[in-house]
Amino acid sequence: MTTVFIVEDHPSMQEAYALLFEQAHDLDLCGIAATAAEARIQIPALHPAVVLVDLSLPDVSGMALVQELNRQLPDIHYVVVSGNDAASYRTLALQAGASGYLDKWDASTHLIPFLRRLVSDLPIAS
Amino acid sequence: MTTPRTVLVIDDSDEDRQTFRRALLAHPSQRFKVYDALDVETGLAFMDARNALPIDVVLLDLHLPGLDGLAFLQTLSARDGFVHVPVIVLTGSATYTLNNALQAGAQDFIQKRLGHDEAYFRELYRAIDAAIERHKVVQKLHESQAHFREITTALDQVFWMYNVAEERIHYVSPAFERVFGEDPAPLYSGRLTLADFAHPNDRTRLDEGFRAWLEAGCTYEYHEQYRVPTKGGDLLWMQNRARAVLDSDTPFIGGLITDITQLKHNELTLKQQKAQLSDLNQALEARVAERTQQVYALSKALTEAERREREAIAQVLHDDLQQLLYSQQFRISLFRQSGQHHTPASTESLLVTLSDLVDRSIEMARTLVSQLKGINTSDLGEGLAWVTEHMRKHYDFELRVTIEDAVHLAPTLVNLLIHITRELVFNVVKHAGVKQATVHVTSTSEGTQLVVQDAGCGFNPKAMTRAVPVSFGLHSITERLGLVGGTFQVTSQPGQGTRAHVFLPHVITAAPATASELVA
Repeated sequence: MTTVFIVEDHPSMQEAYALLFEQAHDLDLCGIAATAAEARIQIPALHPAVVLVDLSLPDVSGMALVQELNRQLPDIHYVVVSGNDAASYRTLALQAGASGYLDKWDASTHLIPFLRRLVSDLPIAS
Repeated sequence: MTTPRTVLVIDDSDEDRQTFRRALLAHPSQRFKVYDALDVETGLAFMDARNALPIDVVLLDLHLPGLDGLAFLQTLSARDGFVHVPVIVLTGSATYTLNNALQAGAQDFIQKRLGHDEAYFRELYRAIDAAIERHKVVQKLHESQAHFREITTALDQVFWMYNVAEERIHYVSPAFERVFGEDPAPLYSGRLTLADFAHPNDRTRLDEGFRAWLEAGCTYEYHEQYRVPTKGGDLLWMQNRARAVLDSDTPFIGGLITDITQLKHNELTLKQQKAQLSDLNQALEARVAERTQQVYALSKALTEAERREREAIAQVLHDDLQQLLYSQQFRISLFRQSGQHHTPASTESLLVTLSDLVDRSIEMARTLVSQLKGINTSDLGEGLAWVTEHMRKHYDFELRVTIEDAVHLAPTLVNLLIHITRELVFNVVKHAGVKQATVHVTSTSEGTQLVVQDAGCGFNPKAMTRAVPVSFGLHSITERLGLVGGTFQVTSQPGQGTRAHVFLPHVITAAPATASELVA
């Protein structure tokens, strides 16, 4: 079972993610944080296989959080999710240490297959 | 036929008179009209009687009973300044008297002698011709002298001549007295120089300058400007220009003094005006620079405000509306993916959720539109209503707005007023410690007035400096209003509430309105 942690501040999106992961029996949503501050406490404790980070968080940017966590816990896969599909964001996310970058627009259909490929070390076509 | 010449013979000797008459009438080509007089008095009387009718030549015996020939010449000379008729002196021998007569204005002489032959007659004819010709020259000289006198008298310029050998003034024109207000006699006597009439501070310079010019050989034009005090206590400015004629028998210097007081005055006025203009230009430039700075600061502030607003809108769009829409999309997508497995209960649950999410999205979009429209409306009433609603919703603050009369303002000015009102009310919310305020808008013939008033804690405006953050907003309001010719005034006292007074004129003046100081 692959454990997934989500950092997302919007309650409605938190709910949507929860529903999505209910459908994927091979992926376990082990926790959700609304802020980077919460994430910093929960992630080291839970040590999930994958962390999904929304690009815009109320306290710091998702990108900065990924960079920080990646230094601390480099064995975790980080995936940045954002409503912005600009290529430059994708590059920035990968530079920050993310394994992938996903447009929220596609997330409802692409996220689960994307995560499965990621953990099975298959080449990621995102 | 030539015009007859009129000759007056003044001689007490009958024989001589006869001889001259005979000689004249014997002229081969020239006709003569000959008149006689036995003495000077009769001759003068005759000439006066003829008045305008000219006499071409007078033959004058020097030795006469009563007034002699010399007296005749002197009388004429005294009358007109010169002897206006050609006079040939008839003389025996005395050279002394003859010289005097020639100096007194006679043109020629002829010796009386016994035996009157043709040669003597020819000598007489030649003397008459020569006298008439010479007198023409004398007359011309006299006329030009008179003309010169006329000019020098009428001229405000003083013409002067300096005798280099005698080292004194030889001549100054009559204008000297008028221009300098002084008697020129001491100049002629050599007791005073032209420099002595100058201002004491200029004398040494003039004396030394003139001497240096003389020593340098007067090769260039002498040119000095100096001051002359008048008896009335005024100060005149003179310009003295001179050139030298050194190669004549009597080397002299001719100069012209011109009163240039008016010129100097004009020069000074011009200089002052130029300086004034330059000052004005500098002030203008400074004002333009200041204005540019203001406009720059304002445009920066506006751009920043715009950026903040855009950011806020983007934030709402991203953080709220977009997330709501994504979550709906998630749910619909999941519902589709579950395929045949959904029950009526799960479908109903999804619809309830979706309906709620759609409602929230719509509400959010409406809020956003109202926020965008409300603050940017061109209708003052609508804009102030938005401010009222905004304050109520976000700060539970009650704003009572009254707008008197029809206030017609350009959309930009309406917008400015709405923004200013929002800032002022926000200040009340933050600092006044009350939950309500009033906004009162009135329109006069001069402009529109907006007053924001509260009964809050108030403050001491004098204690506020520009460094204090609260005053920054007020200062920026003052600046923004200043740019459209408006004014801003805050009246407040601790415990007495605050009254912020905004005025916008109907006619926007080009000059920046002085931002009025905060008054206690």
